[in-house]
Amino acid sequence: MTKAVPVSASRNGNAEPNVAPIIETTDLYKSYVVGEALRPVLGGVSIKVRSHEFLCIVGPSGAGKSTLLRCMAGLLEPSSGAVLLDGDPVQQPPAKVAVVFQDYSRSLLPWMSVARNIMLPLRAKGLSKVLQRERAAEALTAVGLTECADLFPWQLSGGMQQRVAIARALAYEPEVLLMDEPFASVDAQTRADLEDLILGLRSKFGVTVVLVTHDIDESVYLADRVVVMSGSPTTVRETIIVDLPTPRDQVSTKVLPRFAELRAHVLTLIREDRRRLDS
Amino acid sequence: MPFVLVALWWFLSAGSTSLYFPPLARILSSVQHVWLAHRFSSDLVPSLENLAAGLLISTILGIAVGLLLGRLPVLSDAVTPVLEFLRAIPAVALLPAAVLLLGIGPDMRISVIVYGTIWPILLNTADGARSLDPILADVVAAYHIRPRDRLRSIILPAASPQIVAGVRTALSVGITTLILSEMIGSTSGIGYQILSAQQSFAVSDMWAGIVVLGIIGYLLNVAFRGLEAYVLRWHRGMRQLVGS
Repeated sequence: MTKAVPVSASRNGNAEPNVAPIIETTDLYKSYVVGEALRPVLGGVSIKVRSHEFLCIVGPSGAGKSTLLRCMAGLLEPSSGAVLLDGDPVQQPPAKVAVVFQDYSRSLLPWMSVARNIMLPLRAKGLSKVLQRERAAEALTAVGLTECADLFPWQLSGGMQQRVAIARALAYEPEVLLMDEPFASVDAQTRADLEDLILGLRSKFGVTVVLVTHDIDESVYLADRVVVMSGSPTTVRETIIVDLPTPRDQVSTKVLPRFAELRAHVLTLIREDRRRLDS
Repeated sequence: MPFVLVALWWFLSAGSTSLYFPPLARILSSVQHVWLAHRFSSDLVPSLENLAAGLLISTILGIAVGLLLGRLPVLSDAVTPVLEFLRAIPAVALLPAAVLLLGIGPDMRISVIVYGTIWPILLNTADGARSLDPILADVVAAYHIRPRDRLRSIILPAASPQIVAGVRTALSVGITTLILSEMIGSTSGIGYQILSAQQSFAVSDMWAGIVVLGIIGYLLNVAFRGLEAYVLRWHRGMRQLVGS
């Protein structure tokens, strides 16, 4: 069925959709000052994210993926280039964007109950206490933790804590959800569960998701498009359209020949890059 | 064990004719008839009131100034040398000067207690407030946490284990400072009564005062531990979990 179809891909954005992007980076450069030297991390990254799509950014560890995501979240100022949200430059964290961080144990507040962790960002939105509570309860139900509202985060398992962090992001009602290696610190089974959870939430709420990962299987399994980052400083190596049927399934999707092809393609790109760096 | 020791003391001292070590029975009767009777309201209560006022002021002031210093590195850098100098002066060394300036009323004692107890609270608070976990800083920025929520719901609770440790230190410093201030510049209070009992050879009254002091210190510690267990219940629970 799909064996003859080549991997649809391009260098620097031919696979980008022609629809106006909801969030976009234009020629993003970022360097860190290390001692007296300037270490370039991002070397001109241009990415367009379409509304309602699931975009995965994959690349080797230390490739500046998190730096890119933090720039997109408005948490980090790029050295040059711009991040545009609905066409407007992002100067500081936009209210339409929510972030899920990798380290759930540090991104949740240990002195607050699960429900209050979710309610805290809603205070800034001027919601009444009742409404805050309602939204927190809805978000907890959406991630399957209805019963845990009054527990402290540290009383939950790692996977459950990351669900709380996802619930906090959902309750914030963002248009764009940015996730920085969100499943990197949980075990394999929990990871698969969380992947399916986030796919389900995305189709239910129609939120745009940008997820950074170093896991190739995860990127192909989750994404509508995969952006492969490589090099030092990092650039977009290729953007790949993932033409796998939806809804995805941990078993039946991953046995498709097409899944293997896409996976192999991404792996090849990253390997080539590694070889080039090593030599 | 404590009961055994008290019993031992009771029986060993029962037949004592020594001027300096009266029988425990006499000390306890003095506790009952002197300290729990007329001196209860004339000395004991005012002493405790001064201690409470002093600790309350230094806790509030210490946390407020500590937060300010912790969050404003520029200010902290500017005043730290001065603070280090002031802190190095033991509060009790200031007693003569305090008597001169403020007289021998409760104002003087409260002031000296504040001076003695504010440092551990202030410095611990500044220390705890100084370093906000960078991930929490990202959370604060990404989710637009309001400044007052940031202070009340993030910075203060994050610093609370250190603040509580500071207050615990302040408690024992406070008792010491109180007693000494009463011995040096006062006409009432536990410290004054212990000293004047000693000077008038009312030895069992003196010992009784010391016993009362011990009991007060013990009870304050128990009460504080209860408060700590409540305020830091998340911290304790988390640590137990990590340790297990």
